[in-house]
Amino acid sequence: MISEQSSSTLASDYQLPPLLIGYGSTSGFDSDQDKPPEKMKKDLSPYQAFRLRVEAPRSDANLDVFTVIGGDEKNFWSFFKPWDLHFSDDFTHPTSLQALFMAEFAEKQRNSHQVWQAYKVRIEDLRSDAELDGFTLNEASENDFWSFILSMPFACKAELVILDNGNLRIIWDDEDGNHFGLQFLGDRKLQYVIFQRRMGTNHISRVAGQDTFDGVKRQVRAFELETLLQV
Amino acid sequence: MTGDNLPGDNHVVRYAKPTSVRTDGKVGGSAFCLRANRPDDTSLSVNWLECFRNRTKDEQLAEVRRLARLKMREGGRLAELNIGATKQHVRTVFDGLPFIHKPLAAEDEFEADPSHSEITGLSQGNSPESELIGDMIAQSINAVYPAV
Repeated sequence: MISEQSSSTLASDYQLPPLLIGYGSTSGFDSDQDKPPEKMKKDLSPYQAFRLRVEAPRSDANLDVFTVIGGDEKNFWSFFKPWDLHFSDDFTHPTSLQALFMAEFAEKQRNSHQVWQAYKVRIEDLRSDAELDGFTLNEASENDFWSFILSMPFACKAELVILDNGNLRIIWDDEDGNHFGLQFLGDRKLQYVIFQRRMGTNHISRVAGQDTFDGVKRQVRAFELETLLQV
Repeated sequence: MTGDNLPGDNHVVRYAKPTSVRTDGKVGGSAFCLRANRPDDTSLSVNWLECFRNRTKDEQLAEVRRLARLKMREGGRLAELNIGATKQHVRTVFDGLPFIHKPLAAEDEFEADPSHSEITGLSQGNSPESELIGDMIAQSINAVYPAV
C-alpha cells in the first residue's frame, strides 16, 4: 500500500476520503462548487492513476498538479468537487503507481534541498555582513530557524535578513500585499507579522504577535497563507 | 527649519545595511524599526531629498552619500519614501508617523548636513507592533538606490 505523502503544511491536516490517496496541494478547498463536467467524468474509473491540473474555482492563482490513485468514483468526486479538473498533457496510466509517487516525492525533496542550500549560503553571507557591522548572529535564533524550516519541508524559498539583535527574520510576500514575516527569538518562540488580502477585495488584515511554532502554524492556516508559502 | 514637519509631497531616503537588504534587492521592514539593542533610540534617521534644491535625483543622492556620518557599505541601499504616501499607507494601523526636519550642524570632521531628518513616534524595541509598522513602511518604498 502506498502511503500518503503530503506536500504542504495543510495537506498533512486534510483527511482524505477512504480508498482515495492523493498527493499534492489542498490549498483553497471549498465545498460549494458543483461537480466537474460529465465529459471528464467518463474518462475516470476506479483504481486508476491520474495526473490532473487542478484549478481552484475562484482564483487563477491556485493551480496545482495532483496525482491521484482513485478509489470509488463517488469518493473521487466528493474529494474534488470544489475544483475544475483538467487532464494535463502528461495524463498517464503508469505501470508502477509507486514509482510515480516516488518520482514526484523525490522531485519535491530535491527542490527542498535546493532551498535549504540557498538558505545556508544566505546565512553565511549575512553572518559576514553582520560582523562587519559589529554584531553577531544569534545561535539560538539560527537553530530555531532550521527547526522551523525543516518542519515545513515543501515551503517555497523566502527572503532572509538578520536584525541588529542578531536574530534571523524570514519573509514570504507577494505582489498582492500578502506578507508573512517571522523573527526567530530563540527558545522556540517566534514573532510574526501577517498581512493578508481578502480575496477579491482591497481589504487587508494585519496582525502581529509572538507565539510558538505550533501557534504560528495555526495562524498560517487561520489566515489561509498556505498558497503564499507553497512551492 | 529645525523641527518642521516635512511636506507630504516630498521624499526622504533611509540607509539600509546589507543585513536588511533582501536577495531580490528590496529593503526589509527591519530597516524601519528602532534598534532593539539601543533603548536610547527614539527616531529613525532619514535624509530629505528636496532639501537639495534645483538638483537632479542623482545629485541629491550624491549629496546624501557625501554628507553621511555613518559608513555606508557596499551592499547597503538607500530606500526612498514618498512622505505622504507612506503616512497614508501606515495610517490604517498607526496614526501619525511624523517626518521631522532635524539638520545637523558641522561637527569635528563632518560638514553640516541640512537634509538630516527623523521619523519619530515609532514603537520602542523589538515588539510585534514595531515590526508590523516597519514592514508597512517597507511596503511603501518607491525606489531603492545603491548606498555606495
